[in-house]
This record gives sequence, structure tokens and C-alpha cells, in this order.
Amino acid sequence: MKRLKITKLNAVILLVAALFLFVLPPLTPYIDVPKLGKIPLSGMQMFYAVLSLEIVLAVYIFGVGVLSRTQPQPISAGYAPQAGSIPVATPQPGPTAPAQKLPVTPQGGH
Amino acid sequence: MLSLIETLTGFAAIMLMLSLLVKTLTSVVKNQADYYSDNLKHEVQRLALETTGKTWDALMQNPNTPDWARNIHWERLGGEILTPAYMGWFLKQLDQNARVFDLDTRLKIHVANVNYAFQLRMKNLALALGLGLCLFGNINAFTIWKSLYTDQQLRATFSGPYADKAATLANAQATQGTDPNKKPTQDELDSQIKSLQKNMRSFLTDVSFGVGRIWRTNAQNEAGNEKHSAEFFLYEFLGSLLTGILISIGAPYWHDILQALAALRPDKANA
Repeated sequence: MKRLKITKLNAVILLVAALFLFVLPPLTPYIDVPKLGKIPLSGMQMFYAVLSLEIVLAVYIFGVGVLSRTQPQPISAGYAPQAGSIPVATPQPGPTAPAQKLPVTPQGGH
Repeated sequence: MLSLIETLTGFAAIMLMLSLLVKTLTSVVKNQADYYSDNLKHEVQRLALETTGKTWDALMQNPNTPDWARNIHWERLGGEILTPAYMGWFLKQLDQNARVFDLDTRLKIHVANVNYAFQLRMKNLALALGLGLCLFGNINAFTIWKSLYTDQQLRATFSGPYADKAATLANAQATQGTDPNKKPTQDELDSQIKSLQKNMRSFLTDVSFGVGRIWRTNAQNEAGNEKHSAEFFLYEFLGSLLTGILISIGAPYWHDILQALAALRPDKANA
């Protein structure tokens, strides 16, 4: 379920990135920023700027930010320890405690 | 052969200088964003769940939990709290029934997790900042290489005095501590930002070639028609991308290459 959500999210991110990349550059001459005026960049320069911004953001978001695998995930009651971590602590039997006998499981014959 | 060695030395010196800039930039961002405490808090919460069997939220809602535990400023803490004595006491404060045996071994794993996550994030942050610096500044490794290879005077400058300057700066930065637990003061942060600005200005003054060509208003006209213009942009984009990746390898790597190449120079070899 979690995997499906992430894949959907990735698809949405990819779609938005592609949309910005191909829609914004042709519209550059028509974009008028309030108080700043028109953007003094050509279509190709705008394409380069958007592509650069998207690459840097992708590296940051997937490497450091919210979608990074090193970003701490919320811990819930049904939290499963990650591979390589140690299991939930259980009290060890003391030296005086009688050792429990394991039930003998019948082995299949050949 | 000599011109190739000089070109390589000059190129390594420029890459080293850029790597040092990215290192300082990463350090500034790290000190502002405080990535270490995020993972530290997470590992303490995991340890609390493992030893008490309760989630952090459940522990905080417990009326027996002391108030100070609810108001911990994680950003002020470092890895020094992850000691068996302190964590044993801390977990007992959260829950009297916490099973705090074998903490030493458990903490080693949690400390390793914190450090691994922190280092990985720092590497990715350096890559993002390196790519950002090179792509937005349009610092092109191909143009830098070509300029050094074709211009003898430029090559002599960058393989000589500039390489020495870069090596000195790298040595000076290497002696400074990079302890992630150390919280810098405001003065240290200010001086770090000033140093970054100074080094950036110095770099742009020294290496004026192969930088920012794409942002010139006549960038498209330089190449003529539209087909050539697309080629020009592709060349600048790939060059800047490659430079970003190269400088993200790290300053120590370029420093070692520079030292090895400097030893091959005839004046050093004869000395």
C-alpha cells in the first residue's frame, strides 16, 4: 500500500515537472511579474533554468528532504524495525531460572 | 605531454576550489537546517518503543511522564546523550517498566544509524548544492578544460600559483573540525558566510572563462541559427551537469590528485 502511494506520488511529481518544463518556456515573453516586469530570458534560457531547478530540487527532495529514505518516518504502534536493527527487548532468563525445554518437532522421514 | 600535465593540474586546482566552495556552502546550509537532530530524535523514539513497547505519542500522553520530556529541544542536543547511563535513566523516567538491559549494544546500533543517515544526507546535500552552483552559475568543465589546453599563459597560471593557493586553502580547511555534534555560535556562522562570499568572489575573479555564458543576452545569437542554438544549450547543460557531479566527489579527492600531479611538474620533480 505504501509502495503504491509512493509510486503515484512519483508519477504526479514527474507529470508536474514535465508540464513546467514544456509549458513555461514558450510562455516566457507573456509572463509579467508584478513590480518586476517581463522576464528578461529567452525561451531556451528559461528551459535551461527550469530544467536546472528541477534537477536540483529532485536531488534535494529524494536525497535529503521529505522523500529521502533517510528522512525519519513517523513511528506507529505497528512499527517494524528496519533490516539490520535489533528486535524489541525481551527479558532474558536469569542464571537460576530453569531452562525451558524446547518441544521436539517430529522430523519428516526420507 | 607537459602541456597535458599542466592542463590536468590547472583543471584539478579549479575543481578543488569549487569543491571547497561547495563544502563551505553545505556546512552553512547544514548549520541552518540542523539535519542531525531529526535522525537523533527518531532513533531515541525507536529505542523508547523497543524498550517500553509504547510509541512516543503514547508515552507523552502518560500523566506520569515528566514535563521536561515533553519539551525537549532536540535541535540543541547531539550524540552525547546516546550513552547507556543517560539513556537508561531517561527511559526509566518515561516508563518505570522500561527494559533497559543490554543498552550498550543497542545504542551502538542506534548511534550507527544516526551517523549513517546524517552522512548520507550530507553527501546528497553536497550533490544538490554542487549541481545548483554549476547549473545556475553555468560553470562548464568542457570550456574550462578547452581554455586551459589552448591558452598557454592561462595554463601556467592555473597549474602554478593558483594550484598552490587551492592546496593551501584545502589544507587550512582540513584542519578545521567537522564534528556534526558541534553547534556553531552566531559569530561562527557569520564568519562562515563571509568566508563563503569572499571565496566565491575570488573564484569568479580568477576563473572568468567558462562561467555564465548561457545567461548572456546574446547567448543564442553567438551560435547563429536555432539548430546551433540548441546544440549550444545542450553543450552548456551537459558541461555544467558534469562539473556539478565532478565537484561533488569531494575536496579530498581533488586535493590528492593535485598533489600527485604537482609532483610530476618538472620544477617539483627536480627539487
